[in-house]
Amino acid sequence: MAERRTEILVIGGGPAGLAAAEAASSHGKRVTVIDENPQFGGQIWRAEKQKLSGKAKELVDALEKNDVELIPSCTCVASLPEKRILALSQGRTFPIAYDKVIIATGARERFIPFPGWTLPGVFGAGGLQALVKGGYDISGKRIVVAGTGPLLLAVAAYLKKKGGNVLMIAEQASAKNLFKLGLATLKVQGKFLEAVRLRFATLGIKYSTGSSVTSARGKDALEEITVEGNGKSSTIECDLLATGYHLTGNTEVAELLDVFALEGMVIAYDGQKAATAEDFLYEHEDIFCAGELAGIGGVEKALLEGRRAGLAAAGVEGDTQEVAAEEERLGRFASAMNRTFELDRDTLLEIMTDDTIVCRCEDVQFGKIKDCDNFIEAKLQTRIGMGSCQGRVCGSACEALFGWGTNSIRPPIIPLRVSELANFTTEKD
Amino acid sequence: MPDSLKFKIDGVEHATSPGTTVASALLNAGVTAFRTSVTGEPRAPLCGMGSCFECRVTIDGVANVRSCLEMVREGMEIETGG
Repeated sequence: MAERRTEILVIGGGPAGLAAAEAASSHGKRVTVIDENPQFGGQIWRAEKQKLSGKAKELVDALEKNDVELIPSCTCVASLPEKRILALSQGRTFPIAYDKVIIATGARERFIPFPGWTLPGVFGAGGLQALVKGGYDISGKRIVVAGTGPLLLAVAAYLKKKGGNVLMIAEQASAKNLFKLGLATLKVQGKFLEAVRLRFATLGIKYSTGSSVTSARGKDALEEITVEGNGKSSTIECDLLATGYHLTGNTEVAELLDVFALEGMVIAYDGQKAATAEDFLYEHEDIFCAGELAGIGGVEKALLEGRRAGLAAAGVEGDTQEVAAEEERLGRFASAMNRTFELDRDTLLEIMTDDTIVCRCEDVQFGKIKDCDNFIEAKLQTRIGMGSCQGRVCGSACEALFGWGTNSIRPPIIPLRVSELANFTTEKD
Repeated sequence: MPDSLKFKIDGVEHATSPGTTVASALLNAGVTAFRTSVTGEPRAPLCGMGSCFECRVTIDGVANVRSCLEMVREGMEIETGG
């Protein structure tokens, strides 16, 4: 397939990417946005049955009006020389050349293993929500929502609205920490009301703080779980378990482009010049990062960062002090939130058994890796992180369980078929 | 929305409405083993957004397709359990 060329390439069509594309295209730049999903909007604006609404629709409409090239179901799989990426779409690979690139690849859920978590019926919290938005009918299903993070309440509210019988929310964070976060919401416009709205939407659902799912059991699929916390243990029969442990940035593309990321924060590029996330976001001449991959902070932060990156990439002086102040407020809230939902390693390790699978691609058990010193050693001995997901699930799990860093991304960043590569040519035409 | 799209799961006819992902359609059909793990365990979707690769199935003869990123199309043939 012929090489495509654009002035500004935006990788990821969630809030940050769309805001970036809108800002840049409004200043006359030729912009291309690619997204791995069949539809734009990212995870937070994932549409029900493909029908975008609200701010997402507004932004996509604006992009269409500005003649932005939107390529859905398109994944960046590698970085090529001369400011190009290799993209995969519809079973074909092709290069896209750019002058500037904005990486807005968002975040995924962090998963923490526990005995039985590989059983069908155990989903990510955001994962189950995405599947329901994709048409999965959960009416009447008995559901437990568990893990940690602000997503749990939102997911529980959504599942309840969709007819799910949500039995319980088990939040690992302590009541004390959650109360502190409640206070922090008062300082950021909109956050407090959002929290109140979610609490009301989940009234009638049992909310247990300081509690964790310690095992899931079933023959071919989930049948029951054990929840422990505050000195008590209970067995709950359920059809579905939605479990997520906050979010982790999708930093793979940034790493491909030699932007080194650590704990979701972009801290350096080219392996040489260290830069703070802030310097990097706005001051590198060719590469910009915006949104969740540069620090988990929610949709408002992503929109602001996206807009800043879009303006900067377009070479436009932007942004007033007010925006900077708003950004700082959101940043402070993000820190408060991330502190509240910090995982307690001892609690996580207590739940693990030697036969608990950590790497779902290669079925590597906890007992096989627990005595290793780092991810590389574990990888060499067990193939952990070497399967299809390339460590996207077990990598952040190992980071949480053992404190291991896993920066070892190499292209292609998703498994490719030979047939998909076979059509690839570096010829420019 | 009416179930206007016809498709097959392991040779059996099913129907769903437009805008349904393959993963969601399989769950609606009661499929639990989307794929079989390297040690023989049944696996089903986890992340719902393309990162975990647990929802892989064969679609129209193409193996290892992430079903959460595909929409059901008329006449699609899906094979599970591989």
